[in-house]
Amino acid sequence: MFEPVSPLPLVVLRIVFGAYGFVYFLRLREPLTFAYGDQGLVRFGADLPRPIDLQFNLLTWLPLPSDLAVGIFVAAGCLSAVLVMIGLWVRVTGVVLWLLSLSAVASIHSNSGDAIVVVLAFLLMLAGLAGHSGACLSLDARQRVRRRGPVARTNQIPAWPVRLLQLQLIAIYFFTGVYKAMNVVWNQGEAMHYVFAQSSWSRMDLTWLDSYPSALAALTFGVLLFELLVFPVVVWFRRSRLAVLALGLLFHYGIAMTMKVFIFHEIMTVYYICFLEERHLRPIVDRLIRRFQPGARRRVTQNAVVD
Amino acid sequence: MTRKKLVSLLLFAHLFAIAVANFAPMGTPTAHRLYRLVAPYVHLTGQSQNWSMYQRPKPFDARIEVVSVHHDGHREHPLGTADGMPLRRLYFLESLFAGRPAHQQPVADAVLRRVEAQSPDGDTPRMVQISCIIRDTPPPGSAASIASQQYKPYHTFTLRQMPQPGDLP
Repeated sequence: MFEPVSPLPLVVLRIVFGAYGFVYFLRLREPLTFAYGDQGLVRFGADLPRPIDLQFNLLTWLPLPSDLAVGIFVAAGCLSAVLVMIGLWVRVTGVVLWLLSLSAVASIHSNSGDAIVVVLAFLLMLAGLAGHSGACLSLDARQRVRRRGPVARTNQIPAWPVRLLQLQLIAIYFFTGVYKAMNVVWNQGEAMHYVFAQSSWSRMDLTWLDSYPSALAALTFGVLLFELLVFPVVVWFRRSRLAVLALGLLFHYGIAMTMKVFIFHEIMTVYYICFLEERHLRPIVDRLIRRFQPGARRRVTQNAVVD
Repeated sequence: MTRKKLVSLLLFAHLFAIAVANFAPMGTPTAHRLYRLVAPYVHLTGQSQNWSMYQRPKPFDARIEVVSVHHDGHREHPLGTADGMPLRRLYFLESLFAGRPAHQQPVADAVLRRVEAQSPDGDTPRMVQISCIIRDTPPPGSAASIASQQYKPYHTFTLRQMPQPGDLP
């Protein structure tokens, strides 16, 4: 947990999650306005948001219903996400982004994808509080360099923030698989038959697959195999890691193409960054920095952290 | 205590809480007892581990419809049709029929009143309804196909206005 590792995967995850958080909060405006806006459900007597034991929810403190309050809430979410993305005051903005995600997800009818947004915001907040997620490619790091000089910091961080993120992702897949496997329709290979029959949540009619029960069984057991074994075990082997992540993307985008899922495939794509390594990310990051900051090439290759 | 030891302790506590929260839905007495210990932490931090996506696919197909019926008899879908409305809205409307619909009555009433209030001036609908119809999914391998099944009413939330002279049935 404490062996030194490159900060790049964690830092890139912070940047991408910040960018995603901006879009996420923008898209929450519609459901939040539907419930809490001037003409929202609260105005017509709905007892929302429903309190969750011990859980902070900023929306319970705001004067609702109000379009303005919803607008400010969404703007605060977008702003904190952008600040996390550019790495400005990461210790504070990480906490704010986590609290706002927690509030948003507790206030809408949320699903597992939203829960993963909160999980990621919390774990990245911990990494930020410990000073690791802003170790490089951040305005905080730039200010540090200005104050102390580029040799003031080591260019590695302890592994625990990344390990924590990785273990959580493994838990998501593994326990999803475990709870599916405990259900008779999954362990008899029939689950996909019922999934494809949900017409409101299907993007295309796949009920014709009923004529091929072995194909439905293969899909059902394939999902279990991926969630119980392939991802939780094989992803730890460095040689097969990229292949497993590619298979995961195929899995999630395959679902998104056939079923109406809203954010699960997106947030999982973001989350996969925690399994990438310096050697995967460095060429991309260097290329992007060279493109947007032509004079930075030498500095980037010489000192990964400060830039 | 060194910083490393403190961080180790916190990491262990976090991982323990996460592990317990993941095992809790199994419902064993030990998992239940341990969960009570970690519940404040997982609730406070939003780390509840409820990864039950598609765990129990429904053995039926549900379709949700929000309809306003006007005094001249014409019908509208003021929140869009099930195939066209924003997915989060459809997910929310579907939740009104999860469990016992009577528990969701206050929220359903608010949706109905919101739809009614947003009608153009002077054209308050005679009736607004949120309805759920379901079609059983026959088990795989049975003689009946999915398409051969009929949709039947499951539950409807209704808001009615007093009838006015000239109302069409």
